[in-house]
Amino acid sequence: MLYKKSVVYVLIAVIAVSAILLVFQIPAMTKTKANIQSKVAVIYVEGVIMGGHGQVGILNDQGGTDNIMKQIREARDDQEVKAVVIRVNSPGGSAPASQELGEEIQKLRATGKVVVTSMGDVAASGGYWIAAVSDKIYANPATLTGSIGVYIPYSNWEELYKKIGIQQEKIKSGPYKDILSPDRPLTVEERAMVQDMVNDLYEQFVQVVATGRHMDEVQVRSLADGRVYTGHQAKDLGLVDEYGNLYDAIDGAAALAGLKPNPDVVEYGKKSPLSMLMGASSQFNLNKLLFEQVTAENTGRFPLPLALPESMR
Amino acid sequence: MQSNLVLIYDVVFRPRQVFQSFSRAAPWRLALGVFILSTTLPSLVFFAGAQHLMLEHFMGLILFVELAGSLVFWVLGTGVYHFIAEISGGEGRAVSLFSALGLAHLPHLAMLPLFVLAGLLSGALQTLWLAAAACAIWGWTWILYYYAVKEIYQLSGSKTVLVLCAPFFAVLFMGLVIVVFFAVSVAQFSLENYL
Repeated sequence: MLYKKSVVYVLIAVIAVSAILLVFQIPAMTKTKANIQSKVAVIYVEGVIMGGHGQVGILNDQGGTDNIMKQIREARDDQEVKAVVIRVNSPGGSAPASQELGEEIQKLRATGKVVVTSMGDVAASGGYWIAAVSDKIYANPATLTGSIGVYIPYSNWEELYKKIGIQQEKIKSGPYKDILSPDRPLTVEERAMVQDMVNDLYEQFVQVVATGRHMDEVQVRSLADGRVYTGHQAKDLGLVDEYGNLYDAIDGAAALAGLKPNPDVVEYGKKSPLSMLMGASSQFNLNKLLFEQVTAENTGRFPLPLALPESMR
Repeated sequence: MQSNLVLIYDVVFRPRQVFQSFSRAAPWRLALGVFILSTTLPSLVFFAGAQHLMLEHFMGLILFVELAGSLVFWVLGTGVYHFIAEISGGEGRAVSLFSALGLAHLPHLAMLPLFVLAGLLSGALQTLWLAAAACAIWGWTWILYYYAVKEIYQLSGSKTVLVLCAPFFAVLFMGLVIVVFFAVSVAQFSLENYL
């Protein structure tokens, strides 16, 4: 009996010591010299760019620039990542959200990591805002980009309300509190105020493009009348650097970072099992967003300034 | 505690004799404890050591799936093997088999020292060692399963092997039936479209 108990105690001790040793040994085993390879991270910016948290679940998170900023920070903190490719497939979105992403990308570049943008089908407006702050931009000749500009949507539903017999009244603390309210037209002063806001945001956008693309402000203004360009046109105008798809961008990023061709690629962010299996991704409901914008007053929200081409609605 | 230690010794070194005694007294509490420890400890050690891989998001989920999956397999396995053993002419208690199968998870703990030894090797030798260790643990577990069914239900060796293999054959057969059914349906559908 004593012998058996002793043997079991020895086995327990062996297992306990092994467990402790493994805690220190596993990092060495999984991080051998052969395993430490410099990597290129790919971060996806898809659909309409909107600020906030988006939808977060146990197994996935999607929508909302908070998630994308989190991925940018993960890439910044990952010692193995030497370059980041931002894959943009977005018609744009809210100007502040695009600005937030642009700022975060600039912080990433400030750490010495290379950031390259790869444009997909479309990388316009807010999507171009993000691309402009990267080291290099890759686009396909048929990519739609540009649309450098800002607008604040406004709808006047006064006539509709009259037709259906709705009379809205407001008791305001100040004359401009219900600015952009859809139940009445804009006054001349209000129109001027909103135009000032749009002009200010436009100036910010122009500055970002001029600084990021090393272009003269005057030249940027001449291009930034809101029109959409093809990738081919954009390259001729200096808004895009190279033609290429995502893999060309990855190779380009690796080359800029001094890595070997065909680098290891890492992606961040949770992915839903369905998207991992089927490659599906949920689409941001643009019509819903724009409807919310024009009815923002009724939902207690202020319509966001949009860097989003009208023609892509 | 003392008899538990003796039981653990006997399961490791004298499984045939100890499983015979389970018909009289089934140590299901010890079996549950061994099951939980052997299922979760290796995973916890791995997660503790692999924090640089940034798997903390998945740790809870993986542990839960592992524990739940193993528990389901343990409970369902007991039911299935008990049923098949009884049909095969054996006589025994399900709780005895339940306890024995739970204790049969003990070899999983051997993964820890074997992994430590793997750390002393490198390259292909390390991979070979890990593969051999996994096979050894798997084989040892099934040997314990064999003794558990044989001794509790007093079956012959060949019948015991049949009892253990029957569920797999059943799944294989069902899979074959589903594939044939699906193939016939698709063929039928295709024919109807063309005719």
